[in-house]
Amino acid sequence: MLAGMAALAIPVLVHLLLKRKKKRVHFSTIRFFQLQDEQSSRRRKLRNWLLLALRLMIVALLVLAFARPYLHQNAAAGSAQKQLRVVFVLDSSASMLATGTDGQRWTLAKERIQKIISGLNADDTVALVECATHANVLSGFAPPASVAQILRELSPSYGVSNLGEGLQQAVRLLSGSGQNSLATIYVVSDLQKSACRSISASPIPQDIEVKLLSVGDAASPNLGIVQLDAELRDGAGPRALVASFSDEDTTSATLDVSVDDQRVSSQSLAIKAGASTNVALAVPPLKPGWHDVKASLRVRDALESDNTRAACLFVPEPAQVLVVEPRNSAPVYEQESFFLSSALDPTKDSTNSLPGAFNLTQVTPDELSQKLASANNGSRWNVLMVPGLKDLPNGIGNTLSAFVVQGGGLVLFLGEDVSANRYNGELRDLLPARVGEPDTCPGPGSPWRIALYDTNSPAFAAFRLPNTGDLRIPQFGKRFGLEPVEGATRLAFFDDGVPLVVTRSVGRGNVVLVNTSANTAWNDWPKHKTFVPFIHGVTKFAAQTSAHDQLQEGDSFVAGEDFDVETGAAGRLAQFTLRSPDGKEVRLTADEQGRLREPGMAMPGVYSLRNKSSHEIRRMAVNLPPQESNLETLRPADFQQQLVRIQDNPKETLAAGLFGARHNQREFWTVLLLAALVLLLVEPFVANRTSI
Amino acid sequence: MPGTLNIDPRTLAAIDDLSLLARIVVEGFLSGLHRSPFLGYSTEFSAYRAYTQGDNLRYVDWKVWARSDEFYVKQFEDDTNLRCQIFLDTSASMDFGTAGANKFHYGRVLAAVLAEVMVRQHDAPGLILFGENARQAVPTHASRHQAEEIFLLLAGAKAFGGTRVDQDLFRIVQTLTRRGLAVVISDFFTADESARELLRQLQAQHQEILVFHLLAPEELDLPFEGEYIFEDLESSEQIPVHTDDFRREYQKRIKDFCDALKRECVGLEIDYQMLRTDAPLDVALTEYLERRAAV
Repeated sequence: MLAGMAALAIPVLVHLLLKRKKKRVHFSTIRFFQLQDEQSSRRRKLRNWLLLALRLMIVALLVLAFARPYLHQNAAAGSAQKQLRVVFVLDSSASMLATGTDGQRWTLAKERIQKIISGLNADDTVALVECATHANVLSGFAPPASVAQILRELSPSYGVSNLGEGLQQAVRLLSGSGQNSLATIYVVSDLQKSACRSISASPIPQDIEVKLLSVGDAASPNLGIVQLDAELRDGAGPRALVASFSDEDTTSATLDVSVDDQRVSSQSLAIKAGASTNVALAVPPLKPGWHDVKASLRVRDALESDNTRAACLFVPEPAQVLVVEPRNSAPVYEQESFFLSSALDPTKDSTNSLPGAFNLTQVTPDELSQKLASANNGSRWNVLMVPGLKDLPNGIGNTLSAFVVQGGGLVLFLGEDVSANRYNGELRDLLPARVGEPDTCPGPGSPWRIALYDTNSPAFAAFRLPNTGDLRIPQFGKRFGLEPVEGATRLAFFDDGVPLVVTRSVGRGNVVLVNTSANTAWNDWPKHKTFVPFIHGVTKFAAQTSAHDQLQEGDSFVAGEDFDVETGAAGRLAQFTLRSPDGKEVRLTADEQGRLREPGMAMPGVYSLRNKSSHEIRRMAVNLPPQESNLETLRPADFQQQLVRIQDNPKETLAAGLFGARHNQREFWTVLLLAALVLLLVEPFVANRTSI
Repeated sequence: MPGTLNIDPRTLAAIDDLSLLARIVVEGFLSGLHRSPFLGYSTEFSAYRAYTQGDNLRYVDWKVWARSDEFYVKQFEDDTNLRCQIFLDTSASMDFGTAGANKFHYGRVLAAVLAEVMVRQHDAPGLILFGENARQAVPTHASRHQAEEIFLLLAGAKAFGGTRVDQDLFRIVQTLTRRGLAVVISDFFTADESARELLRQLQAQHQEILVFHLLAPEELDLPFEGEYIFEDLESSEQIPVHTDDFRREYQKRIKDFCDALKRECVGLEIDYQMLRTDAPLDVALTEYLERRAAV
């Protein structure tokens, strides 16, 4: 400030400089000026001094204002007059549902907040920030009573928590606080470690007090189901991953499995402290349609909400496959269709198997026509698989044509008993290729192999990815010469270019001709692992069903996260009904892309989505975030230590340094600045009326 | 009052040769008088006078009689031979005014023109310069060459110093024993009442006096704006002035000064004419001729 006072020399210099700059004029005589009015001369002199004093005062005021003089305030006396501005940062994650020695954490948190609110004055103001997956400002600064009302009706979010984001919001709310208020942040949380991960990224100004209301026990032993897989995957059946977040071994836990709210199995579990274990779940075969699968732990632990996990399963209607067997009186393993049937339904009649994608029925060639004409329990046949037949029943061609034209799929194999002329004649409207002369490979050491195949075709979709099977391994000793007809598509070739698989569309159906026997007479394919996926693929292709139309797990979401539900292009602008786990229903409309935006699935459980015709099109499971099962907490002292406090130093922003008020200080630089501005406005008027 | 001539001082200021200047002015002025009611003015005669019994009929202007049916007698220069003293102020205060309206230049031109008119009228002009010191620059003499001598001296005269109207000048005045005409060309910015004393002295010497009070437009209007420091041309004294504040008061004071001088002259039966140096010279010439005719 002393240095700034040197600026007082400026107006004096300006005064002097202006004086020297008056123009000098030679005049004939000054006699008529010499008798100037003494009074006006005195007035002018007075105005000159006034102008100089005015300019000095302006500079002095500006220097003083920038020096920011202040008066110290007694803290106690000051705070007694100051308004309290309080922000509650409330952890509403799923871990707040845990129960400890003092009761449920969520209940405890609300009680403690209410107690503090009741101790505030009416002119104090309170804000409420809820920390779920994101921090939400539930109330800006409002009278304590209105925030208490909001709190009463508040429920936890079942998601994770981000206290760092909550602190950021609180600081933002308090940033407009003036010098006449005391700013305080209450952090109400169980201080779960996962919630405290980003608190150091939210710096808090020094003049904001941060108080901690820690709820819950320091140590809370807990077990939880952190993962549930209900579908078959990589050869493994349904299973649940159970984790222990306890310091002690658990020996008396029970895992129940329910399907559609019916318990189907129970098993005892023993888990070591801090360990996790994959538990196989026994799920019975299920009818086609949507099913809930729930795994529940029966154990005494802190958090009950993570002891249940749900998944949804969709069991598709199996494809109805009619397999023609010319030798049904022979032993099964000697039947022509043995390998086909085994490939299509390898787990049939197993006690612990889920239904397959195909429902097989065997029929003799003579019964074929009659069988095709009748429905199978109300369902039409999807696919007819025909091994190489020696005798084709008369008129079978028309029957098969009608079947295919109406949308059925026909898979024809060739073989030793096939008469090319008979096939070409009877099935001429169906065959994708004319059957030529039979051919035998040159020698045992040089069989034919598959060289090329179309992975874009659903028939070979199983082989798109690497390490899904080498189709070059099977060996083929015999085949027919084939001449594909117009409109036919070759899906696979032998290494010498002769087609192996040819297909053709007839009416609404497909016909697939496989240039080998259905058994091992002409090839050793059934011995290799690529046989089953090939048979599945070609059957689905013939049945025109999606490659994904198989047992599948429904969508699974994490509680508290933002997500949309896709209904596909077919659901564009369509109306749906969503049923929550508690039975409540809500109507929703999809957007232009068939998306249901943020459908409000916050509660854990299974949700059912129905279309306008009340047909259930999907089930979805919402589960707690797995990290909420770990109730390990941060110590309060560690929490405070991790908080980053902004110091009062010259590195403050220029704006804060210029215009911010400090704690316990009463600054009046604004008054000085205003006074200087007023004088600056007055100065031109005085200057214009003053001559020097 | 002949009003046919407009002698623009700015134009005159562009002509350096005073003799040429004087002749142009006079001839222009007098030719303008051709249709004037002041019949009888002529460059060849000094004057006309009404016929009185006993005048020689040889000198009656019959043309005038034919036109006016009145008898007028020509007077020749030898008959009149009026002594006309021109008093020109050469103090520093006279050297003021813009190029086209400088008082000293205006005064010199006026003096030269008057000398030319006097010579043409067969009067005897003389020139007395007064200022820092007084001197009889050209004694009165009735000859054609007298004007040339006056022109020469006027051309070399400079305005400088103060205005001393003292015994030196009075001594010169006292040499004017014969009745005549005194033309005083000055701004009368003397420090005291000495200028008025000059007029009284001249009157005491039985001179017909004609005062041309020269003032520049700047002295009358004070057209300056803002704050200035004015420096006196004679005393070099300086004074700061806020012209916008003071203009009205100044104009009042200068008017009071002129009025006071005029009253003084009227009281002494002296013809007073205030001349703005941006005004044409015909006003001055007309005034002179009227005055001359009355003598």
